[in-house]
Parts: sequence; structure tokens; C-alpha cells
Amino acid sequence: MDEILLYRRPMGTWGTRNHVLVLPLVASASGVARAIARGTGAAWVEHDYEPAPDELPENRERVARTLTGFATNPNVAAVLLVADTPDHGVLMDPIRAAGQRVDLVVVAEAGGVRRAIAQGRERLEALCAFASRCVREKAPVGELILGTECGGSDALSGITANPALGVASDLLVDAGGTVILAETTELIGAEHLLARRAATPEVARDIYRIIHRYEAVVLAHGEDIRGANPAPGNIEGGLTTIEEKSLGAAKKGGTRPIRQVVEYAVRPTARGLVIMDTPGNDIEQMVGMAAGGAQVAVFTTGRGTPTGSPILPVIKVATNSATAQRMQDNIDLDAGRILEGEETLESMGQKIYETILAVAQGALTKAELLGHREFAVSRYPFAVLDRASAR
Amino acid sequence: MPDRPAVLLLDPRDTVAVVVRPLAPGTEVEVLRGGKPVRVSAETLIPFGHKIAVASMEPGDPVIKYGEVIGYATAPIRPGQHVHVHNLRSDRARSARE
Amino acid sequence: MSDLPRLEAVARRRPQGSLGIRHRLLVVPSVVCAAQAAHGIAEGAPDAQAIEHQHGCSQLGGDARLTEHVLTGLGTHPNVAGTLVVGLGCETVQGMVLYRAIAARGQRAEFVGIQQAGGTQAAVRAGRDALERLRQASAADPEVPVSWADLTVGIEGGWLSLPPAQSRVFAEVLEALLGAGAVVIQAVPRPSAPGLGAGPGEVPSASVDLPAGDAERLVARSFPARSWEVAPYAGPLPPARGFVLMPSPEARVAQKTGLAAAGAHLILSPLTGGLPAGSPVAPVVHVGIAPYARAFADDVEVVLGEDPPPGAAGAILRALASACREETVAEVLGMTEMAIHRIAPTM
Repeated sequence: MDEILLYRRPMGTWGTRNHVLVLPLVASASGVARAIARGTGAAWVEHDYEPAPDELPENRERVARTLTGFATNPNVAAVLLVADTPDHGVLMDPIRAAGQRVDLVVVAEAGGVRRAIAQGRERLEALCAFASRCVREKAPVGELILGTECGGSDALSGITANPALGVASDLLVDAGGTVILAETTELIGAEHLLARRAATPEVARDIYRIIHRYEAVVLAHGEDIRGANPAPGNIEGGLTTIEEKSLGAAKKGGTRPIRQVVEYAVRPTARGLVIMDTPGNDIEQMVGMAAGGAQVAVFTTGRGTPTGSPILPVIKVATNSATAQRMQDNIDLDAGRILEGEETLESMGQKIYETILAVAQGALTKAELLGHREFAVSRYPFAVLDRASAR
Repeated sequence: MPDRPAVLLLDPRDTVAVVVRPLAPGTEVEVLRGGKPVRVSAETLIPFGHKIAVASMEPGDPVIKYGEVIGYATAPIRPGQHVHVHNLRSDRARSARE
Repeated sequence: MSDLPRLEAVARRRPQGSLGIRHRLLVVPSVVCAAQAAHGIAEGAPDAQAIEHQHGCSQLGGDARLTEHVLTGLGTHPNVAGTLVVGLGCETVQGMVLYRAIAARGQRAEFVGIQQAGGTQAAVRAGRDALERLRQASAADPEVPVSWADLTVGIEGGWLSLPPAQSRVFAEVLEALLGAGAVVIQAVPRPSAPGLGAGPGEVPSASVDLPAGDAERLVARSFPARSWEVAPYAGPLPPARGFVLMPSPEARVAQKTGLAAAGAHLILSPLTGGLPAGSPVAPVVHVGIAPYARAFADDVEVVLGEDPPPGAAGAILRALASACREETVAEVLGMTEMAIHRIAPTM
């Protein structure tokens, strides 16, 4: 299948969904955002980010590009921003400049909370009318950016679900698409192996840089990721070395050359397999990949993590059949079938790939059916290193 | 009618396979390595999730899983042997870092 | 000195002996991944309130402990008739650990685990059954008259840096409350510092030292004759009832959360910037500070002008008394934000 049906966006990107998003720009506007969106079918998020007077510019920038990237994700047909005061509404400009259909409610200017909710509903109605006119068109499969993630991992993650997802990743990359491998903390120990697959020496250097950087952060907080890995539970389960453990996680990205390394919430400019620097926190990782332009995600899970995304369809792949059965409300695919001999790694990978294409064209995931819309704003993690090197 | 596999070879270049059904000593398993069938016999009890060698390795030889080097053999390893902390060491563990 | 209005309100006495001015069931997801299930459980139940937060996964030691500390404080709040903890199964702030911590303090509590239950929908069904059990059990909590001396009032730090004409009014309000025997917790905003007095990875202890900063000096200037004790962010409060200072992050949502987790029945919030926001367990009484808050006259209980008349403190005290009897504007509007202060980035 070379062409699939996607929504064409003015930014030159293609979406797998057609959401209207209500996005509070500061935490205190979350309640107003919720009140505006309630009962309208619009997607909305809440978060805890409140700019502080002593905020680091690096943090402000990270949050700004996360919110901007999220608002301009191709799955979002139009976005209504909610701010408390005019100076917190400044993201309106870059979002509009990116070509996105956007409107803004500033509570103080609207005349208080109640009036802002009324104004917001009016503006939201106009955005929803616009979105309802968007239709799917034929687009190359290569326009897809797939986010990959694992959470609630168990001993089987590196044996069934992740390698099967890797097969699907390779299929998508070979078809011209992009796959994001993230979760930098889970790659510690495998950096030299990943660097060997880098397409250029710059990419190899970037791989080392982001992995060593995260390791330094964790160390600075007094925890030794490398020394404590694999943990006793992992060793009991059969994992011998940290390379083995990290490779199991990295397997989600498949085997193709690594074309680019991008910072958190930055859109890759290369096609193919890319690495994004993200923390291991499941929600922050998904948000970062969405802000980077991913339109669909596959999330492997051992114990059964139900999380989804307000704007991305998240396909859940269980590592084992017991979890797939027990949490069938939440699980889309069962990679445990590989253990039962009902699938091979290759056939399971093919199944995952076909599901990605079906979901991209409108098939709903369990997470979407259940209304999972987890969202969190990731903070700048490297201040502790900046302080140390400034001394 | 598919059989429940006892081991999984995750990549054709791998020198170890992952045990997905606990292997009693003497159990024979087969994997396809580089397109060729390789048959090995478990030398000792190998638990679920652990590794069984499908190729010979000398001390210092790389141990390959996922098509990549996951560490180096610290003792001679025969096909069918349990590969774990007693004969495999990491290349990138804390003590080895500069 | 203002005359304290009569409270004329009733409270519910909890099994632990504390008095609550609301009778709500609280649904607490121990981790962000359980928030959707918590939301589904509370939806459609007017007496239930789910908490939304972004914490629990991949938190390093100090942060995970702070999240547990705050959630435990909220879950054992006297305004809460019963608490349902919703966990996932694999997270750092283990659902079962949080549930046991809440139950150990004598709070009526139940637990639902998403992975144990078999997914989101099964957890929602089990959660609604658990809420019904909590509802039945708490129906017997007796109604008793409540006086100012039974109350703990939390106040955000925004008033400390107001011009004297306005800050004087707040000082008057606090003096009246303290004179009547209420416990007053004053949030003292501090620029973000790891642990707020404790080292990274440590839970702030009760012996936190408050070096004199701007906020502390302002408190001393407003209350020259008062002594105070210091409590760590989100509690626990010192045993002696009186004036308590609580170091807190500057973000107002975080100040409210800390005050509520420490047990404030009511929160007094001067609105000097940003938006009015509520709290999941403690009603928030907003005082809009002019000139900024004139735009929010419909969203706050009292607007305090630049040149307040003599009765201004009395108006605020009356608003606090009303909040014991009826819903505040923030509650009517459904504003129940939450923020747990992060010490370290997530991993």
C-alpha cells in the first residue's frame, strides 16, 4: 500500500485525525479550557505548568516549543488557546505563523472566567465548523511519523513486542516514513551500538551526547542508572548486561540506519529512523513525540499501561497473552502470540504495520474508545548540569 | 498446527537464543541461523527468559543478541550452554567506563 | 479590630474526630496513567471529586515521596468523607502504598487497581461500587455545630507584598481568626529551590529552618507581636494550634495544594494576577485585588479596592463564614486545579 487517506494541512503535513484542540497555555487556565470544551467533542488538556518569575529561559523555551508543536501537530485541524493574561498568550503568533488555524481567549480581557467561557464556546464553534469541512485525501505512506514507546515493561518486552514493533518500524522506514525512537534513559548502555548505526559522524556524536547527558543528570541526583543495571529482578529474569537491556528497548526502532537526533519536542527534518531525546516518563515522552509531529504511536506494554493521547491514536501491543486477555479493554494487539507459536516475529511485525496503516486512516484504538487523553508538560532537566559546569 | 516454540532467535546473526519454555537438561532445540538449521541440546536447566548458546565462543569473543554485541564471553562457551552472568560480561558496565 | 461574624454552620464529624465543612468523596489516581479511570469513576457522581495531576511515573526518590506526601494529605483531609485510591500497578507511587498510608490515618478508604481489575472499564465499574460503599459508610458521620476555633484557614502569600492600605486588611483578617482560636497557615512563597529547605531526595522535615527572606520579613512586619511555628510544605502541622508559616513554591496553584494537603478547611486566595483557581478538597475564597482583579468581579467573593473602607476585613470574614455554609464561586464554576511541586525532573 503506497497511498493512504490522510487529512492535508496548510503546514504541508498530513494528519491521521481531525481534532479541534482546546489548549490552556498556563495551568490556571486549565479549568476554563475544560469548561469551554465540555460536551462539545473538542479535545482538551490540563497541565501544571505555570511560568514563575525565576524560570530558566531554557525551561521557558522547552515548554513553548512543546505547546507550539502540540498545537500544530497535523492531527489538529484547529486550536483554541486559553490564557489568563495577554502576556501569556504570546504563543498565538508562532502557532499562526506556522500556518495553523488558531484562536485565543484571554480571560482577563474577556471580563472574567464566566465571560471567557462564553467567549471561548463561541470561538470554538467557529473552529469546529472549519474542521468539519476537512476531508481525507490520498497521501504517500511516507508522510507518516510513528512514535514508538514502551511502558510497564517486563522480561518479555525485549523478546516479543519490541522486536515485532521493530519489524513494523523497518517496514515503515522502507516505505519512506519516519520512526521516532525515544526514552533516552532506556538507551543507556547501548550508545556505542546505536552510534555504529548512525548515518553520519555527526549523528553518532549526537547519540553519545544525549545519552551521556541524561546519565549525568541522573547521577547528579544521586542515582546510578548504569551501576544499578540490570537490576536484581532483571538478572533473575535472564538479562545479563545493560547493553542487552537497552537493546531490548531500542529494538522498537528496528534495524535501519539512524538518520538524525533531535531534542525534545523538535520536529525531525530527516526521514527514516530518528532518535528524540525524551525522559522515560510515559506521558511526557508521548507529548514530546506528538509535538515533534508524530501522527500515530505504537506503545508496547508488559503489565498493561492504559495511557493514550488527546490527539494521537496510540496502538497498545501487549508483550504477553495474559495481559492482553486481562486488559482486553485497553490492548489492541497481542504479541504474546509469538510465544504460543501462533505468530512469528515477522508475521507479528507485519500485523503491527497493517494496524498502523488502518489506524492512520481512521480505525479507532482502544485508548481512543476509552477516552484516554493523558498530557503532561516536561520540564528542562539539565539545569543541574548547567549549574555544575558554571562552577 | 503451529508448535509452541521453546526458543526464539531474535536475529539470524545471534550467537544466543532466548529460552521461552524452561529447558530441562538434555532438551534439544532447533533454530534457523543464517538460513541454516542449528540443533543444540541444553546442557543444564535453562530458565524462562534466559539465553542458550547456539554457537561456540572463546573467552573474549563477542556474544551477539539482537544482531548486536551485548558483551564478551569470559569463558569458553559450547553450543547448548546457559549464557549469563557466569560467562558473559558487559563491555559498558560502570567499572569499565573511563 | 474586626468583629468576627457568627459562623452558623454545621460540619460533619469524621471517625478520626476531625470536623469537615464539606462532605465529598475523593478519587485519587496514584499516578497520571490512572487519571482517566479516576475521572470515569467520579463522572456523574455529584458528591465525588477526582483529582488530576501529572505525577507518579518515573519520578526520582524525593519527588515520588513528595507526591505521595501531598496525595496522602489530600486523601486524609477532614472535608473528605471517604477516599478511593486508583492505582495502575507498576508506578513509583504505588497505589497500594498510598491507600495504606491514607487508611492508616483512620480515613475511610478503598483501593482499585487497573491492572488487577482488568483494564479501564473494569476499574471504573469497581470504582463506582467502591464509591457507593464509601457513601453508605459516611452517611452516618454526625452533623455538629462548628465554630471558628474548630477551623484551620490557609492563606496564600500574595497579600504580603501589597501596598499597606490593602495588606493591612489581610493582617486584620488573620488577627481576627487567630484571636478566635482558628489555626492559620500562611503560605510563604519561596523561589524554586530543590526540596524547599531539605536536600534533594529528602522529604522536608518539620524542623525546616526559615532563613529571613522578603516574605518572612513582611510577615514579621505585619504581625510584630506574634510568634509562629514552621511546617513543611503540605504538612504535617505542629501540634500546638496557632500561627503557622509554610514555605511553598511561588505558583499559586501549588500554594493552594500545599495548604489543602496540610489540612486547611478553607483557603483564602488574594487574586493579584492570573486566574481564580480552586482546590479539590478545600473551598477557596477569592479576594480580587484592585486594580488587577476588577475584570474578575464576577468570579471572586470580594473585590478589595486600592483604598479599602473600614469594613473591608469584615467583608472578607463574612465570605469565609459563607464558604462554610454554601459553595464558593470557584466551586460553582467547577474549578478544582491541582499542582504537585516537582523537585527534580522526571526520568
